Amino acid sequence: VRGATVKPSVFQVLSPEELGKIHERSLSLLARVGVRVPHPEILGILASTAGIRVEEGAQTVRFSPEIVEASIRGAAKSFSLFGRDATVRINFGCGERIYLSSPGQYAWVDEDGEQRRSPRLSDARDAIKLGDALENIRWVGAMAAAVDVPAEVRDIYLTRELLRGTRKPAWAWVGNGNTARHILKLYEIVLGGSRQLREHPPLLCFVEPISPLGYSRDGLDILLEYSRYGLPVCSGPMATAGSTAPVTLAGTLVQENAEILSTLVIAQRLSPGSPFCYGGIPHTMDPRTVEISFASPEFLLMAVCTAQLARHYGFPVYINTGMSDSKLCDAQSGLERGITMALGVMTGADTFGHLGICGFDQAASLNQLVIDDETIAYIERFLRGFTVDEDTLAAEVIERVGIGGNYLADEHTIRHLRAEIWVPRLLNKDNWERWWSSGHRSLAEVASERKRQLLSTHQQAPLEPGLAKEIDELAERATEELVTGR
Amino acid sequence: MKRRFQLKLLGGRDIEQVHRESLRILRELGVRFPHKDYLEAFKKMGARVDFDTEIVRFPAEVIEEALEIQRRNTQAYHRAHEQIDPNDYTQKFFMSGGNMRYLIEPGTFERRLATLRDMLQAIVIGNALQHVTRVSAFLIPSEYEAGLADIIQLYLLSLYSQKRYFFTYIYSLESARCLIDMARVVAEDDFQFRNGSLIEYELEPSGHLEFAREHLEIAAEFARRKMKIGTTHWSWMGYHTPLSYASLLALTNAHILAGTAAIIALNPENMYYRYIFPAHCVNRRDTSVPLMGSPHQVVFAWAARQLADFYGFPFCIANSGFSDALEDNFQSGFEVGVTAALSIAAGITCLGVKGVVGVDQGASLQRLVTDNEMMDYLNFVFSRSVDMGELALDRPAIEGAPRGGNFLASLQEGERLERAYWDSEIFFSGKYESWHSGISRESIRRRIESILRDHYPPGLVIAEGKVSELEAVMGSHVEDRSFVSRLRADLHRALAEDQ
Repeated sequence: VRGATVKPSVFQVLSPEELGKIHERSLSLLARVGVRVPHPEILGILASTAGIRVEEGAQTVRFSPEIVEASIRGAAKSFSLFGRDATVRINFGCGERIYLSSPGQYAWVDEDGEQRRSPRLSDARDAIKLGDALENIRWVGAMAAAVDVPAEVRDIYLTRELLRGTRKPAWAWVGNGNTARHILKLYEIVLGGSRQLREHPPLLCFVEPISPLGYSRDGLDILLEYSRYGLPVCSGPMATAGSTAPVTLAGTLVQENAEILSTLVIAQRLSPGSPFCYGGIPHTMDPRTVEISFASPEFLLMAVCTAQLARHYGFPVYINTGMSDSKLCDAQSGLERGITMALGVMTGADTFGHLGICGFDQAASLNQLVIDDETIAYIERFLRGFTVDEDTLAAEVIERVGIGGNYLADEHTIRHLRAEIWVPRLLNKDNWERWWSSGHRSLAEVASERKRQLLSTHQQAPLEPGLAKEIDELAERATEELVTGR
Repeated sequence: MKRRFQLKLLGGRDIEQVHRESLRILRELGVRFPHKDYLEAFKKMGARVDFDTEIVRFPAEVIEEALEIQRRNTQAYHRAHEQIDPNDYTQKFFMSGGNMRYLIEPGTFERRLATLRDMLQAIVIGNALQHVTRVSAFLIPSEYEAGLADIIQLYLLSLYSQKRYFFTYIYSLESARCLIDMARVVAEDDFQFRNGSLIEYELEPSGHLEFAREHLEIAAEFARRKMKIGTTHWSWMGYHTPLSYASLLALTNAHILAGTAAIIALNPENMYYRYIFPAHCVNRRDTSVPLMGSPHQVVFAWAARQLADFYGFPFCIANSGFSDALEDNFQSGFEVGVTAALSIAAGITCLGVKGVVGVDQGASLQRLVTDNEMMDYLNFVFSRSVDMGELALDRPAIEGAPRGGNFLASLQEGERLERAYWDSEIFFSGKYESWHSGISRESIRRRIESILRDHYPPGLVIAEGKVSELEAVMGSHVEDRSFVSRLRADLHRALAEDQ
């Protein structure tokens, strides 16, 4: 028996020489120009390292090629993230494909084409419940930046909801070092201590360099907090060709790669040997409006290149494919999400998303998340391939049916139906007459119905009551410390 | 054939096993060819022919010899007339060959019977869209008997299409004879007459391991005039073949190989050959139709490319870039986009006909324009390598920019911007505030209106004398004596109507 399976990682744009050239230019950029690190404590740690030149007044750090190469060699190249009780895990750098829902959006769309509104904590609860229910969403995001929770503690409350609502690995955006400390404590409570947090890391530190060539103080504070636990670090600058990076794709790749490598060196100085994930998410902008694009063909080309760069270094890679600039569940959205996701998975990347977004971070939509889940099932079916053996070649069946017959009612058809044929839940496969006479419902309507059905019937595994009480108390204490007591 | 993207589904042994199984089917089960000329030609080629049952059993050598002749002819054709670079992944596409009775109205998605005017507009739009290479009149006009549609289609294309690569499905033997004579009038030379660009026949099995007599008659007409013929099998897994990929590949390929032998049997000089593999999966909700946009289309396309490479045919057509969605929505975009992108990446040369809604449920100019835009997007992706020159690496800009600054000034560099950016008139990429529902649909409508405003009514592209000759040919083939004068009058009215 042989399996005809699809092997991702074959879709490549850059030659090995071109990869080498980008690497070499990035090293040169880090040595000559460096990056701005506005964080005295981290500057102090870096200053004591051979191969790193710190200019404290300008908060500029330059890296020798040797220290960059050593950091590449020293970082762990594969790791796992665990759910709250370590029974569910996602593995990076092992050939798995991880699809994730958005960690948080600042606007919310209830139904396709409606005006957007501000999200609430109840929206996050729904998003978590849905992420828990949808089988292809493996990394659950809170999706809603709930405005009914004070901004100073919002991420703490969202993390509490994630811990209560799903056993899958989960995350919300983290605001600053103060909230990061509390979030790590929440995990310590649920996992049973700091050792468990180190051994079964439930979250990674997502560092977002500010292009070009800078960092925010808050981002570095978070990195410092997470590094105390040796948690995995992912660096994902959103360098945008033409605005925060050169307009040429090659120039953007050089800069973005330099930014990622700079995070790597800093993270390895703070926590030597900790795992690293290459966040390949450069974008382009629409030159007419200077707005970022999440789905242009140039963005797709750069996603392919970043996956190649990550593999060149041996790191797992996180790419931002499967999204669209369209605000609607329309043909543009389907084309852009479909093409970027389909070619994205062929790069061999590890992580794809964020899913459930309308346009370029314009809003979150649970209807869209339901549709995205269906599209992943479609792509995974194709990737599964098929088997070539005597049974599937079906020579006897062909003889039995004979000249002029058909196979609809044959026993072989019935036996293989489930394994060979993927049956969609949402996509319409009716002929015109049936579709029209049954009310010609749009995909958005069908998705909305499925969303409502899942939200009303899905049973989440409850967090043990004692732990739930403890994390509630911690969230309240954090509110007193960071909001009431300010 | 070395391709830049090494996308493969089957191992070398798998492909050989599929080929061997196809040969076994042809050798042991055989195929029914109810046509005396073919039976006699096959016997001369060395096949085992039963003249009573009309079943032909093909020894492997007969098939291999037919393939070898097609390979030689095709190589010579590509050397002289159509170079194919295996590393060129950009696409042109065909409009549907004209078997659609309904036109689907943009926006409302209501469908109505098509008219002569709709056919003219389809020709105008097909000529205007950059990535349409093979133009059709798309539709069957409701004002006429359906059996005359192919003749009307070729007539309109001959008169009004600037692009001289036509696609018309042939409906009957009587039509075929008329179309061949029409092509003789329109062709600028013998090469154009014979090379399939004006009229071409694709020989298909009519059922499991059998061809229809009338189809073989049409093929024989083409062969007698040394006109190019193709072969294919529109097979549905679970209906025409057992419900497993492997058996679909083996059986569909067997039908194609039998057709290949038939082409060579009556015309060993058949000009060139394309490996056409339009396989689908049956729709289990309605077994009278196949699924057009399922993930299986990607699997079939990849396998088709590998089979075409195995046989040494550079041009491979697979049915990808379709959808089962009956309106233009997320599903249509997703299914079309995913299957098209992954098939192109595997090296499929042509994605089949476009502008079709569902399984031939209707033709849509809106879908055609969207398909063209999608092809533009994909051609951008697949035609680019990332420019790694010193200018593109742009060290001075990166080093010179203040930390925390930006590169917006580069937007003023027009030439560089043009090289680096793909722009769309149709897809919307602005902020939520500047968006409103239906904005993309409106862009498509505006595009169609703008093309029709500029190009409708179309002008004649052949001399008046040729028009008269064509009409004389039609008059001599069509029984209804009033047909030509009625067509001329209707055409006059359609051209006079405002777009």
